[in-house]
Amino acid sequence: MGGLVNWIDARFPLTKVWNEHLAEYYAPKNFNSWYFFGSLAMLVLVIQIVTGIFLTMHYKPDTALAFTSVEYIMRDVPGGWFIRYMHSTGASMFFIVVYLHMFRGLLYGSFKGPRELVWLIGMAIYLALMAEAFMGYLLPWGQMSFWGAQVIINLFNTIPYIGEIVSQTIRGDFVISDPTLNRFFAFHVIAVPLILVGLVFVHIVALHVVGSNNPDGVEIKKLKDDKGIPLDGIKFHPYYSVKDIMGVVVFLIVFFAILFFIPEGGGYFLEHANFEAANPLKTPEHIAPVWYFTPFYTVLRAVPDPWYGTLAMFAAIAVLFILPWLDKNPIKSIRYRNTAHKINIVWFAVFFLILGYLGVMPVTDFFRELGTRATQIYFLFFLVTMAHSRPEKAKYILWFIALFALVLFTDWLRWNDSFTGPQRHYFWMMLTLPTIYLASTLLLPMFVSRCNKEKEVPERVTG
Amino acid sequence: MRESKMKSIVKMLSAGVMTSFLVASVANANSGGVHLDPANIDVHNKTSLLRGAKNFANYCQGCHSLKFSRANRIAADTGVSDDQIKAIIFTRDDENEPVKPGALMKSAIPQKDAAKWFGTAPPDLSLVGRSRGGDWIYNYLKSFYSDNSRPFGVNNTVFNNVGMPHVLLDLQGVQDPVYRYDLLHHGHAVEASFKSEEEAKKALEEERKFEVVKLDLFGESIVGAYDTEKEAADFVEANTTYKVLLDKKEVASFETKEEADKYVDANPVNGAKYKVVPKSAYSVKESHKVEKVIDHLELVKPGKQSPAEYEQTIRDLTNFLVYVSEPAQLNRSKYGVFTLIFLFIFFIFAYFLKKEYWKDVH
Repeated sequence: MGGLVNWIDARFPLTKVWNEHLAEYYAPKNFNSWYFFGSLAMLVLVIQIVTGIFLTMHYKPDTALAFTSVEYIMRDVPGGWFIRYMHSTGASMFFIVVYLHMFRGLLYGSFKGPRELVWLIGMAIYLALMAEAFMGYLLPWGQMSFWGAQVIINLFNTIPYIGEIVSQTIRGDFVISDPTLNRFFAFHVIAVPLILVGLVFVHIVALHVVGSNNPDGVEIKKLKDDKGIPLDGIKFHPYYSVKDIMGVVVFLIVFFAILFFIPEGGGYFLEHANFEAANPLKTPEHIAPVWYFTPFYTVLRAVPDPWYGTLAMFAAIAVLFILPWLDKNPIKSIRYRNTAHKINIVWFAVFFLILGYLGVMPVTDFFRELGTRATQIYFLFFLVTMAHSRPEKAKYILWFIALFALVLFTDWLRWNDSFTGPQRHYFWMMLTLPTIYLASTLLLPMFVSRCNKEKEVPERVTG
Repeated sequence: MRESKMKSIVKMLSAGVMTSFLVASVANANSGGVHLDPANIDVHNKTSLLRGAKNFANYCQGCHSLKFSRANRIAADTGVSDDQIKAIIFTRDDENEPVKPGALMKSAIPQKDAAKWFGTAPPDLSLVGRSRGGDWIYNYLKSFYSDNSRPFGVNNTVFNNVGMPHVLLDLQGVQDPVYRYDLLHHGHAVEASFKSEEEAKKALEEERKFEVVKLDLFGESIVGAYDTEKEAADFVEANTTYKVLLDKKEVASFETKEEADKYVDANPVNGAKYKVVPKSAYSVKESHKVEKVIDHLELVKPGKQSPAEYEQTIRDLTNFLVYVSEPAQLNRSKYGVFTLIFLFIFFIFAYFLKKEYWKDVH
């Protein structure tokens, strides 16, 4: 065995890679449950690739056969239903895990220096994942596959001057048809997975250069023993490899509970309308994208003009990229930040969920206004984050006035004299939401100094 | 004046958030459309599945296919032999031979003809159990009622103006709709229900007010209520001004339409067009209205089956369609139980393995 390893080591840095990334990679010893989601995301990626390979053996990317071939997998291929449910449940679980992984980064400031590049690569993974999921959703060729893709591809139509050309290039036709299905299949099974795997590799390499952050936001590399080993670090393998096994088992319990008992996920993982084959002549009453896109879909619908709506939707994703340069507060972890920041994070999480909920609901006057207010708060979050960068010196009153003026300015832009009575009523009523939001994050720390007080970050990790 | 307005805004804003969430939850509860009774089916009841399969072959498969399903799979899942399942195969293949149990279950009539006869091609029902759900199928099958305005003399409360005839009519019998007249206040709240239209109309006459609604910056408010439409209309008329537009630009404004028209006649221009538009913040709405709804369906001519027998027939059909939409569901949960038991035991080992390794981490 030793001989074989030596033989390989002379030709390939096997031991070196093993040590650098596992056996002698020192991770902070205080990881909590939030830190399971990185390894779980990798697990789901593997599940998706393996089940995807088996699905490809039976699936037919042809508008006349696609829907039938999926039902053939569900009924006539032995174990086919299991593979298909692994893949469909895996898609939703991928996003659940990735959203929690990203939220972890938000909580503990993992996106801050020196890990900006880890965050940027991670965001690129998220973007690739959304493209992968969007194109994969067309493949079963159900009603929602077709009409969901229709809505999204038509967004590109709104681009001034070149919109037509762009959307025709995406479809490969004037309408969504066989060429569209074929190219989406190519991208879904080859192009995007290659990019995803490559990006995940780079994400981990970059992480292992700067080292992992932790719930205390303490840089463990600052304090080392005489052998150069971080005092608060433990070897990834075996400590975190055995701990992650535990996380994997808990995850699989949830995963298989969904797969075997509620594979449709209440109509959110597999939409009911998608059990009807795509019919270009029959528009469904209510088109809702799959749940993981719905927060951004609500942002799109919040803006009356389609082109500006599209811009807003992409901006909602793009703004996440620059987070490391917005939140310049030197304290990483939420544990030592002021109360106002904690409130800000809670608001963000709550309104992200509200945006998601609204995206699956049909538009009513009430929901439209709530969606618009939630969109305002979503974007305000990033500006408030800037205000919280230097709490001691922050001129909160100026921030409050400026951001409230911004809210009123966008309201003035969207105000229309054709608003009906209820629309006007909700408009003013829900102005309370951004007002309360800004007051609780900007005025509260100004008037209650206790809520502006930051705690001292310890030298070493706690617990 | 100004102060009271400010007060009302503050009151509205503060009370608003709470009430709006109440409104939202109520609206959400109604968004499902028609009320559906639970189907109470059990896909593991094999006799029920077989009865459903038999009835499907007898009553439905003439027009509806199950193009992803095979009779021999149904046989295997219900524990009967391929020979036995031939008893419910009535369709024939291109050689005019009865189709084999292993073939996909097509319908008897050609799709093109069916589309011509029924206005729309009868849909394939392989997946209706998943796209519509069992409760919907069950309620749909018991909700046909006689309606002479429809081509086949029947309509359906679950699927309004459906193109399908009531194929189970001889089993269920004829149902007539029993109407109810709801007196609605402001479009939604039901104040009272009446059996006859006359009673409802009488109540409407008593209750109805013609409300003058004012639209301002903050929404709508009722500024006056009148017994007759004319009084309300007079109020609006008195508060309406008439703008004269010249190429969409306002050039003058008058109290009455006659004055505006006079201005237009007195000031002719070449190559441009005048337009007189009324401008008012007020409009008239009726406070109450009567809505005719179907309260329930009444069996007026019994069929071959008693109501209880018919319930069972459509429950079996529903059960069969739900099963056929996903045959794997018969075994799915069984595998699930074993998988979860294994994982729970595995978790105990994983937990103690981690604990053992982490003993020396302080």
